[in-house]
Amino acid sequence: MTTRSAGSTGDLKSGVGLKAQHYKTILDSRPAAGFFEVHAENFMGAGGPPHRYLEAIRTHYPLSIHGVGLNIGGSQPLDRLHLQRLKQLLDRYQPELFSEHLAWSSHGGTFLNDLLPLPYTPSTLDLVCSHIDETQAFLGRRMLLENPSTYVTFAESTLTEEEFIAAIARRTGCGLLLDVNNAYVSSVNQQRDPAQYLDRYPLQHVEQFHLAGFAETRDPAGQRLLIDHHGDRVHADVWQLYADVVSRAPTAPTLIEWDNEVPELQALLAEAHKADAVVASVRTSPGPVAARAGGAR
Amino acid sequence: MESAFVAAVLDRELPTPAFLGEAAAPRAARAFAVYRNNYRVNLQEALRVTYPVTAQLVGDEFFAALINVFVTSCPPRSPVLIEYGGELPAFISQFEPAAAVPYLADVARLEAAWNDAYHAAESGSLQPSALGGLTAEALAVTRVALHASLQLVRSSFPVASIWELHRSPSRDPALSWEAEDALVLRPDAEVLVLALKPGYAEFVTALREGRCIAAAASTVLQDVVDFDTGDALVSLLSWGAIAGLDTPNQATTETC
Repeated sequence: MTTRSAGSTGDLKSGVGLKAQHYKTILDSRPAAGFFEVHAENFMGAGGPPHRYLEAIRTHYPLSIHGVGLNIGGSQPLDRLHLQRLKQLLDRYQPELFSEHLAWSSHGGTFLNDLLPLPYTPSTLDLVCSHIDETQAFLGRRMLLENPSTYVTFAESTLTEEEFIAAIARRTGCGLLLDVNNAYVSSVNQQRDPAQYLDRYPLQHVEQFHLAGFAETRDPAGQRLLIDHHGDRVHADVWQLYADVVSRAPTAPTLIEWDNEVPELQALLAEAHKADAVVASVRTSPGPVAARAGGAR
Repeated sequence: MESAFVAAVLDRELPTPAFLGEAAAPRAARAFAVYRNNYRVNLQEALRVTYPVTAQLVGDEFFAALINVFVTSCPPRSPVLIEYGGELPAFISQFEPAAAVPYLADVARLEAAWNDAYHAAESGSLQPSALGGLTAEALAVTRVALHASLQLVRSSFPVASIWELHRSPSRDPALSWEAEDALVLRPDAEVLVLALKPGYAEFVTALREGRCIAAAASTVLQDVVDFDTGDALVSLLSWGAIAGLDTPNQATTETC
């Protein structure tokens, strides 16, 4: 696992979220894993064990840093102090991947610690694009933008989420992190067909996938309402959608997110290996795009 | 839109915002409730990580209710949640329903100190051998720089022992119910929580205020007649609690 080359993600196998309870096991056993992903904000302390472990693990594995608090979809100006913290973290660890969310999380000085939805209109599009331009310029690198899990929509929206995201990628040059679970959760919650969402999604800009588990509830009318809780295995329907799209983004590595009720490292890695198996089966099958990545798998 | 959205997340009594696109009101209410629930549960989880023993002492249900009230008066102001919740100990001490567990606020203060030490900047400590070259006279006028992560938690309850028992349940549960001062610091990779002997907390406090060793010791000796300054210094050094010693070049006649 010592052959990582910063900046290259073309042949990364699937990775998992790095959890504190797994730090020691990872260093002691050096399991096969494509990469590890951390939430940026968990490493914004001045020092201590989180940095010590991340430094050590980073020397052996590729790294993805995933921000959850930049408020890119918010109406307020970006928090320069937070951008500065992010820059410091990215400069220190030089991750192969860096991503943030199409969502907002702060308003009026309060941080809600959630990824909140925004209306999709020409004016919110302008705002999000300006925030991404500012972020990329400030950080001196491209970012990947992740599609959200949503539970509500807005009457004022005039664009679909797929159109909105495609326009962002086109205008800002950012890459996309396609969370297939989020696409499924949002589509089911909006009573739309997830396959249609993915058909219209700008897959040519996808540079990373996320897969996770969801919880299922019902609304008072008995309709499904899915909650993206990152606390379970990836659902069979999500695996199917993933298999349908993964060959259309042939160099994008995949991350398994499992942040609640976190299992033993082996169980977590088993999900990542399952993703590798899906990739191997679809990217080796004949096809104009799949052929490029096929040999390496 | 955002202000109304946030207001409705924070206050569950408010109606579901009117700007949602969901046609059926019951669907909109159920879906919006996910955000209301996420906000509270996510912060409960974040604070359960920072305050594990506090949560254990009162149980999940009470802790969740406590945090739900806490977040209404002290919502996070920053996305860096590892630094969130420093006001919780003071909040607990004023929280009527927690009065039945009188040591809860002190345990929470200990855990807040632990969290600060855990994330503190890396910083070095002196070895016990650092005292080797100093004469008694030089030592007396020496000032001590304490380790940057060091914090004192003084309590009229056995706060360090209660905390330790819950962290390592296998330990002998016999504890004497007496006041305890705890020293919290992270000299290297691990956070240390040490129950201090009488006089140590006063000694550390005087050193932190910039008093020289002799002056700090004499303050302590007024109340703790058998305080052993040499033992205290060696202990502090062996724990990694001392970052530097500043001995004047010449014995100074100034009081210190």
